[in-house]
Amino acid sequence: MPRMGEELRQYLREELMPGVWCPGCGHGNVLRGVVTALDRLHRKMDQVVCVGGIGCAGRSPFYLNSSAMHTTHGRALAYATGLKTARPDLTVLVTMGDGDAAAIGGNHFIHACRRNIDLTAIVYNNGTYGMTGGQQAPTTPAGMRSTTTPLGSIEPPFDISELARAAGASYVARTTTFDFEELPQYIAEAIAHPGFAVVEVLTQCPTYFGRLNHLGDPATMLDYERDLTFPIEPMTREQVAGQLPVGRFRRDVRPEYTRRYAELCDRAAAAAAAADGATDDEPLPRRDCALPRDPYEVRFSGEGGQGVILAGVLLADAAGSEGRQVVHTQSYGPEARGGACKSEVILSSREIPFPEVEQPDAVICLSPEAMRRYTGLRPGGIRIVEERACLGNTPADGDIVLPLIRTAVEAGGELAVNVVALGALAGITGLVSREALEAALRRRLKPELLPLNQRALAAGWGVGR
Amino acid sequence: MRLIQGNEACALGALHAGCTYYAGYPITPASEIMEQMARMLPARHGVFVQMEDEIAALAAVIGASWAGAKAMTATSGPGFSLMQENLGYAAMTETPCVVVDSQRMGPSTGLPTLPSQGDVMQARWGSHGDRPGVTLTASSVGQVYEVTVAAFNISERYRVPVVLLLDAVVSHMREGVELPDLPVVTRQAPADPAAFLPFGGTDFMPLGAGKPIVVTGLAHAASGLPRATDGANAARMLQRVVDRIDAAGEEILRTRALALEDAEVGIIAYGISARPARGAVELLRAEGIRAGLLELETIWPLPEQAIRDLAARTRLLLVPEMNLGQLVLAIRATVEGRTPVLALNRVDGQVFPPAEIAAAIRQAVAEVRVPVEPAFREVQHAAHG
Repeated sequence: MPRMGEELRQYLREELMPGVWCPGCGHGNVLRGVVTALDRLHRKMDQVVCVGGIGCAGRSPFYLNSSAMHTTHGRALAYATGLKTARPDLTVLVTMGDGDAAAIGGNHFIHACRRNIDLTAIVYNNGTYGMTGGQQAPTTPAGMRSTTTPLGSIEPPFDISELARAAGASYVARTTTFDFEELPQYIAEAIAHPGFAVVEVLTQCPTYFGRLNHLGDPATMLDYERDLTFPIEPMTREQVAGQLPVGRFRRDVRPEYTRRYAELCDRAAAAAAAADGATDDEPLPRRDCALPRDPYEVRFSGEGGQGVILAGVLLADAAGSEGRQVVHTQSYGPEARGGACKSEVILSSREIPFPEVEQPDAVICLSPEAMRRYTGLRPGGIRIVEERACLGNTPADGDIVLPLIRTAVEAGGELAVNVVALGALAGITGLVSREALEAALRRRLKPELLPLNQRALAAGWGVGR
Repeated sequence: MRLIQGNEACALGALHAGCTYYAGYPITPASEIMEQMARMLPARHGVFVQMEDEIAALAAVIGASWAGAKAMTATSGPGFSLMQENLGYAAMTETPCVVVDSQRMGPSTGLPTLPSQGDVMQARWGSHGDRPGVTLTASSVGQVYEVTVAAFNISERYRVPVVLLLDAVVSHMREGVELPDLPVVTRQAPADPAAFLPFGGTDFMPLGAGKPIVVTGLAHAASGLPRATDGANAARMLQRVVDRIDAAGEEILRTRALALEDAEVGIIAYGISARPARGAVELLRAEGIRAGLLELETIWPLPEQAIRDLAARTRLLLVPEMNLGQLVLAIRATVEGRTPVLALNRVDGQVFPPAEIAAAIRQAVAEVRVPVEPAFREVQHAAHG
């Protein structure tokens, strides 16, 4: 192997050399490929960040004279995603071993491929965990020995380049430390490529993989790499069954993540500027009339999808706009639709120490299950029950049973049953003014839903009275 | 006055503090923070990224912080568990960032929509090894906003990851609040960039700003270069970051006092449990028991002096927590037997009603006539039993 040119030494942090890599290790060859590529591309090292994971390959950032982030095992691509999305102008290289990239970091690897973010991932594939002592890796070929597969591996290995291709990486190439010319060429192409680029490099670990599998000295291991692989172009020799193809498998131009994100920001900023003209409602006068009890506790209950939480939010919003102290809490199960849920509001003329309803002064029940599950009413309180919630339940003395769903349907849709109920409650109790509720509807609802809900509020108010 | 949700207040506080970067993964009950950021950041030319899991979320946040951004993520217990290794990395690399954990009842998937205070010890000790741990809490929507700003400010000034513990109730609660214009702290650029040592002080220079910078989770020198076998250097570097937080005092140790001036019994509470504790103080005062509340907005580092001062002048202390007794262990260690410290616990996903806390105080006051050592032991035992 020729000596590294003097001109390339400027790219190295020689004070940390010799580093952790064993004599005969192929990782130095890969690093030579990286610095040669950076030199060919005239990259300024103060604009380059090399991010590494954990393991022998993960140490590469220390030996490059760029900024370096030596991160946690398997997570280098996720750290690099943070760096690159925050500073898209930087050249970000990510150096990982095969275990780092494809085992513990496999999830980050496939998602980085999918996102197509402009990072250059260099996977040093030596078929083993070198730093921890030669254990089986997800790339260890079937039948090969490691310190955790002393009788030979029985697992099929990952083909990292195939994985990258399937997951959507827009540049994928595989080469070896034997392929002296291709190695820097592919890395340079990958760095220049505007998207997520993967270069998988088969590299020799004479200390473990080679020794445990009797592959001879480092030079003999380079022959092993040559014989193991088959160049897809130019085809200079016959392919032998079982050989791994090497070469450039993909170079596509696809929309790159940070550029698409910048466009999205421009769209969002334009939309925000357009919406800036919208004015808030005029402030409402304070509602000075005393609450029926102070604090006053309200519980809306029903099933997921009935808008129970929104009803509570609208009441709290409206009462707050009239100068009351308010707190709204909600309780629901995992169901987005169905199940029982409740939404509670406390109204008070003073600060509310405890935010949850303990004994409600007013209860709205919109579903049979809610009527069964959420019991308890303060003596003298009121309970408004949707007529269909009584299915299988016996209303208590004093319950106000109302056709809330029917009223909502008549107003234009069952969806608005929550606002019918809110209107009925406000009409009966006078907790908030109708103006305040209407203003809350305008603040909280999409314009296209306003007419229906305004009708529902009016209808509910009428039913309640 | 605006009616806003706790999680929305967190997002608004973050933006006020200058947060320009959010990476996250959806989880109940924290998702609204993420959704708000997804809505608000792009128009401000900030960055929002949805990552593939919580491990990646915190990794991206740390990467972004080293790119110079004020960055945050938010999660709940299961995601917070996944973040622990990278939280240790953030501490080791003195990376300013904010991690919100809206607690839900665990262990494991637990009760995903119900509140808990079960992550108190995890926030402090969840990552392997020793590290400085700053953890803040909030009990109201207005406080979520203020404490989120404080979390960023502390994180930026002291170059330390800050954890903000919320819970399912505080996150989803809505209250009418005024959002005050709070002061904002931003990490300091080095006076002399050429002589900058990334791990020499609290000044900060991002990657890609003209000087190669090395960041590693290995033990390292002030220059950032690894010193992975130099134990004395590693000990010095760790002590340095821990001492920095211990010496900070007031800005970090945030507490609120309610009716403590003449209190004979004290409640020490934090997060959502401080709300019923307020109610309990009112109930007890109405019947002639002089109760007071020390609310800890900062639980780590523990405001030890405030707790010792209170212990010195009260007959007993009660610590209500929605876990099986976590912060009470540290409070007892701080009080060192000066006064009995009782634990009141529940793990059923329900917030204590004020009456339950009041009843515990009433009973304790009846039992603890003279706070001498034997009685103290019995009460402690009973509280655990």
